[in-house]
Amino acid sequence: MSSHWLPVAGEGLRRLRRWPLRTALSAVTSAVAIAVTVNVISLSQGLDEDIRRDVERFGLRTLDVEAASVVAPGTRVDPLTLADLDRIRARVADLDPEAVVPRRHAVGTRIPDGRRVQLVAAPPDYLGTLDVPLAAGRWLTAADAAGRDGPGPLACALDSQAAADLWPGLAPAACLGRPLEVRVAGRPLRLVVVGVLSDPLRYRVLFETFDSSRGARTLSSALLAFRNVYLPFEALDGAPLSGISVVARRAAQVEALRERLFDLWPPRAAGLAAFLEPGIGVFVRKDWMDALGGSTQTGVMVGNFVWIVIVLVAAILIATLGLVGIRERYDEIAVRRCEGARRRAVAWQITVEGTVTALLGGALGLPLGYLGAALLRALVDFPFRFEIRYALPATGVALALGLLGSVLPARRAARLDPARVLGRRIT
Amino acid sequence: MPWTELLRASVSRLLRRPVASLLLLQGTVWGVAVAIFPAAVLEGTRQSALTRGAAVGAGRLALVADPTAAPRTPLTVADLTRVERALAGLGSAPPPVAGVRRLGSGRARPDAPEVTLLAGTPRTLEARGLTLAAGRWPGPDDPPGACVVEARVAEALGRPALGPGDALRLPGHPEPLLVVGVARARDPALLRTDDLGFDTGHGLYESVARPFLLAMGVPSVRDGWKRSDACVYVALGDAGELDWILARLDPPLVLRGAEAARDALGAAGRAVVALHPLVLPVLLGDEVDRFGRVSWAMFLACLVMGAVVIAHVGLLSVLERTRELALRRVEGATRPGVAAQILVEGGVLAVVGSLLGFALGAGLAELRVRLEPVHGFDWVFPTGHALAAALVALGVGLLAALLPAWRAVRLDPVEGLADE
Repeated sequence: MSSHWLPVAGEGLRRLRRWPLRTALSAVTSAVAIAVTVNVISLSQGLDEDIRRDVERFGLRTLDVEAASVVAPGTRVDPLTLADLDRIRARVADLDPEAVVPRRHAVGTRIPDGRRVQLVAAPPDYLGTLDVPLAAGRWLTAADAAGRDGPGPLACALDSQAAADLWPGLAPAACLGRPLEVRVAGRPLRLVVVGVLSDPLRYRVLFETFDSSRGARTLSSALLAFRNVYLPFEALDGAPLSGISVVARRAAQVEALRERLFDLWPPRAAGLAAFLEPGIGVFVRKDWMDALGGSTQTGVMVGNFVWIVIVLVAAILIATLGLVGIRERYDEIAVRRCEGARRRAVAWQITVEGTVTALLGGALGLPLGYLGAALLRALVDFPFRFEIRYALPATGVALALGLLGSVLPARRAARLDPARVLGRRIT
Repeated sequence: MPWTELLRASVSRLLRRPVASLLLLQGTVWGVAVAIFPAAVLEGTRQSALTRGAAVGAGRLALVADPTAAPRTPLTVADLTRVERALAGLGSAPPPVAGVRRLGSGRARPDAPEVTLLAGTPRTLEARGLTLAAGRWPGPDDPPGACVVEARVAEALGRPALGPGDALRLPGHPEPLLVVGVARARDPALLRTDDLGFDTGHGLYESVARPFLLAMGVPSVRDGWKRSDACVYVALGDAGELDWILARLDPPLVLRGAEAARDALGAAGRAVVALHPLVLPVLLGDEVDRFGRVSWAMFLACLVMGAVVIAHVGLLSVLERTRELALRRVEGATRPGVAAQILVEGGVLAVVGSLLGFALGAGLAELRVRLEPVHGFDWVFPTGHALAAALVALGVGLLAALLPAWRAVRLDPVEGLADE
């Protein structure tokens, strides 16, 4: 086999070297196609994976009992109370969850500029409902709650975006110790920043672009907006609870906890429909994350229509350029057949040429794609990127297309009757 | 050979082998199409938001108490005044702002559209984007129960028509009503559009847009009455609670308006959700620059890809013809004559490819617009981008033809033919 194969491969390579310009152009074309393909896959697929990973930091083991986010004016929803907190604690006690955390939400305004701030009052173990590290400073402690009755300002912690809104351009560490005065429910509250949480979302810009005012989000869905100012739970004393979170010790415990909470607040509908019924309900953050991951993927498919078209075009181009190249070489193939070359040898030679060109293109395309992504990133603030882990499949696809683009026409060309091909030319 | 003759020869050569020509052309066609269509959609939608903003409802703003706030404090007439004050300073004229309370709803028959009775403040019709076909809004001199009906109320109640002066009784509502005004029917596309600007009747709305919005933390909203065209409005008499505060702004002011209204209500301790079209106002704001730049970067990338392919194809098409050119030289064609022929052919390829590319680009733009569940998406032909793409195609096509043409011309015809 190798004795037949080697001369055929050699002929293919010789031919590539004989027409360096043509070889270079073919290689560049497949290089550009590969570069574009890898960029597109990296952008949509990689971005989607990143978003899923980031979103998981909003608490993979957390369950929430809270009012469903359904706008239905006139529907009466009794708010949660401290008695509900006790009921939950009693119901899940034997499962020994990591934490059962109540919280109160309020809208306040900053003094003096009237800027709106979202306040969340929660006990120290609230941080356990999230999987977000501190960017600077510390989280609230039990000692901070005692400060409510003291003469000094009350300790508060900020989400990174709240810090960025309050003090634009300031690093998280520089926000520590800054005073913040807000008016909430008519009374002023003096605060001092003791900690700033880091932003779990790497691509915040994508989440904010189409909801830059975050107007359509509700208080309890403000997780994504990440603009909360956290106070000790007692700071908003007297207000009803806006939510109670239960944190499982292990991911496997989430289902058992859900069943227990369903005993207290039976599910009103299955799946996504549960989000469409007003009233207090049990929500598992993991479900929400899956929904978000799933819908960003579909959204990415529709939103990245442009990119998908580009990839398809690249594929079509690679496949048909082989075809155009081979149509042009019917004569040469006929001559080779007259010289005694076997059909299979001719087909193999063309296939080798196509593969080598595609491989050359792949080798060229990877650095080209990397440079292209860097260039695009520099031009526009958009997470263009080039990930080597997608390069292999993309190169494989390009290679396959290159082969498809050369094998099929090569077989057809090899099957042509040499006498007819050459005869057509002479007449 | 005169130019016209060369042109005719090139075109007939293209037409003689349509499949081969199409293969040759497709690089240019795809390159040009992919380069122009994102710009076509972005610019078309932007223009649609600017010029048809009111028609597609891009300026609507609805404020409603946050359903997840505890305690949930309903909006009041005092809140309406706060919003009016906050929005008054935004544009040249104070926009229409209204408060609405839902009093009830019912159906005349099980299969009839649901009729909703609402109490509203005087600018309700304007704030809802409605105009009167006849009559007026109930005044202080009108008897209690004076009302304005929307266009489909007559149908919903099984009456042939309703006009000012007609008496009315609504299912589930004991008080008799008297029609004093009738609103014009709304555009069906607008009737399907929700406050977030999504076309609720679109094939991808339920399967793609709605789950995505829910996952992003946008609440589900029960406001089917807004899209029914079967509402009955009476004047809001007392200074009681409001379910909704509605406004119509200039579309470019919507994002700022929503923020200002939420700030004003936040200062009064009110947690509200502000619903407004999510996409079109963004296209009119600063954020669009980012999309403009992304689109521009894409245009550039597509041009590069297209250019490489055009060069490749151009080169192949001439290389293929070394022998034919040699023959022409033997037949007595001069070198400049052969060069002119190749250049004209390259030019014709680029122009025809660009024209087909325009058509394909328009088709892709139309497909993209149809895939979008947001109402108001549109496309226009992007003349600037198209011209740039066509010029690049022409330049690259000619350059790609020039090099082999130069070689072919220099080639001794005897050698060119003896190749075989």
